[in-house]
Amino acid sequence: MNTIVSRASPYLLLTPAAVIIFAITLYPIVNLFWIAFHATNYFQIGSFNAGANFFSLFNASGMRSFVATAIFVIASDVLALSLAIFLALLLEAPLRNRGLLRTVVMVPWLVSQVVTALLWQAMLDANFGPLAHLAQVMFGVSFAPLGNEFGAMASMVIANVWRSYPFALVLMLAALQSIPSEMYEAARIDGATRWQEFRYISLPMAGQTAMVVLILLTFEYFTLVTIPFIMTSGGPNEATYLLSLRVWREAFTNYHFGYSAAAGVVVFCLNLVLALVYIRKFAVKGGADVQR
Amino acid sequence: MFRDKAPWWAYVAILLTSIGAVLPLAWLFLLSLDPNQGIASGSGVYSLKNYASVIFQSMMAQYFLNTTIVALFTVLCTLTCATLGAYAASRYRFPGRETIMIGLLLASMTPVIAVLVPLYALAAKLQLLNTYSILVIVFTAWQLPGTLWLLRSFMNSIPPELEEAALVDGCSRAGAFVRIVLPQLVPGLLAAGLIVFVYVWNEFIIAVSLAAKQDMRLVSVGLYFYLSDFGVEWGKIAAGAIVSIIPPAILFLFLQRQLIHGLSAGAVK
Repeated sequence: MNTIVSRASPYLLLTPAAVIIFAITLYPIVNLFWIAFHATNYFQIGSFNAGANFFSLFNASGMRSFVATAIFVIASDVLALSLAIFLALLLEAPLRNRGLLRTVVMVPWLVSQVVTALLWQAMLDANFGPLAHLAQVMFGVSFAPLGNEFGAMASMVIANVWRSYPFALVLMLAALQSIPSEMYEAARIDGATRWQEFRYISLPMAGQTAMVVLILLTFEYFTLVTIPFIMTSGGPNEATYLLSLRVWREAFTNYHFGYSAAAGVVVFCLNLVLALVYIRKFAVKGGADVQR
Repeated sequence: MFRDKAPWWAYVAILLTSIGAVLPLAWLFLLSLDPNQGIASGSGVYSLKNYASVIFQSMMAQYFLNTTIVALFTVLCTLTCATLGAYAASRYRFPGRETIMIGLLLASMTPVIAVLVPLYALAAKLQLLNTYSILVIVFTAWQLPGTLWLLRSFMNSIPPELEEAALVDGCSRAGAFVRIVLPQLVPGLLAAGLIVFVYVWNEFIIAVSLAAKQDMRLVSVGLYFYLSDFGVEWGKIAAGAIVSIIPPAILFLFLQRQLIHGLSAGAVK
């Protein structure tokens, strides 16, 4: 009796967590696939429609979402990661007030996505925003970035990078700091230049972390809704209508649940590929490293 | 690369970044003090009128209460379930342990946006739309895998010898857990609790989808609806945004050390 209890107890202890997680993620995923393959009318799930929802996803408007998502994710990834690596290298140097500088640079981490979106929307406002005001006073030109396709995407990327680089910076800084000083000293004695130190010591030693950061950022950017939702609502001319925003709007604004679910399936599958690569490459090896 | 000596332009680069990081928030603060919002900023008149109207004439106080309730219950549920699970995964050897842990990790990478439609349908069927319960359940599910992994690696760093000694001395497993493991787990629990609390405080898309009814909104949702409910009154929105940043900022300030300690003991490299 006693051994049965003690054999079962780890499973019993894990049960509450497992039940909640699977009820809120696994069940809805199965349901998502079900809805995606059926015709829907508001909440009524009708007959099987053999992927018609997916076909309508690949029309001209749908393709714009794929393109917009790719631009948004790649631009944000490149900017946030390179900014984080650059700052981490500098913040490792023996600066005066280094602790204070590190804290100040991290400040945007505290700001939520909603406040970020509202803040940048106000800053870039064509009528009363400070940047538009400056452009008008100094150069006599009007400045309305959210009004054109390129400007709206660029504004969204900047707001997104502003909020999310501190997370990448923390991880990069930790990775750089774990490199032993002796390696740099040995390289210095052998007459290495700064660039060679970066290329042959910092980069290989912190490269693994940089990959992890890149994947974590990609996860976040790929499924981000809040910033385009508030800042641009997908406009102008659907230039910032990200795939994730399409999933939300088709369901909660247009009540096309089947179409929304099809887009959701695409998001889920792309995300799953990334997750499997990530887990195979890093999580199993590194154990706790994967913690955010 | 620059560990021994900073390049001459380091201060310039860091100063520029700091300005970029802080200036938008400073401007937001100035905007919140400007009673003539909507006109060009910097009118030279400052007052707390926006704050007064956000706090007393809008439902922001209610939203703060909603968010606090939901966040506290989410923290409680997450920490309870995660501690039990982490204890099992750290102190027992059993078949399928690593598979379960990887499964949890995979579940935590499910994109929120993909499951919102089914979750909405589920909540509607259970008549849980616009309730605290549905938010607590969904947020808990979302924070559990990460918290469980964090607490497990934290628990792995606590040596098991003390517990074994207690067991030998006749303490029950539960007794050993409460008397010996739990006190040592406190920094980990504080760090995890802080992460969960701030997550709930800042969450938007789940909250706006499942609880958008006027009196059930969370702070972030309330801020967003300020635009549509009261028109584009940037001064008041700015005041609301500043107020909404204060609780997480204070928590970080006071728990910074615990956060770093809790996370580093959890072997985050």
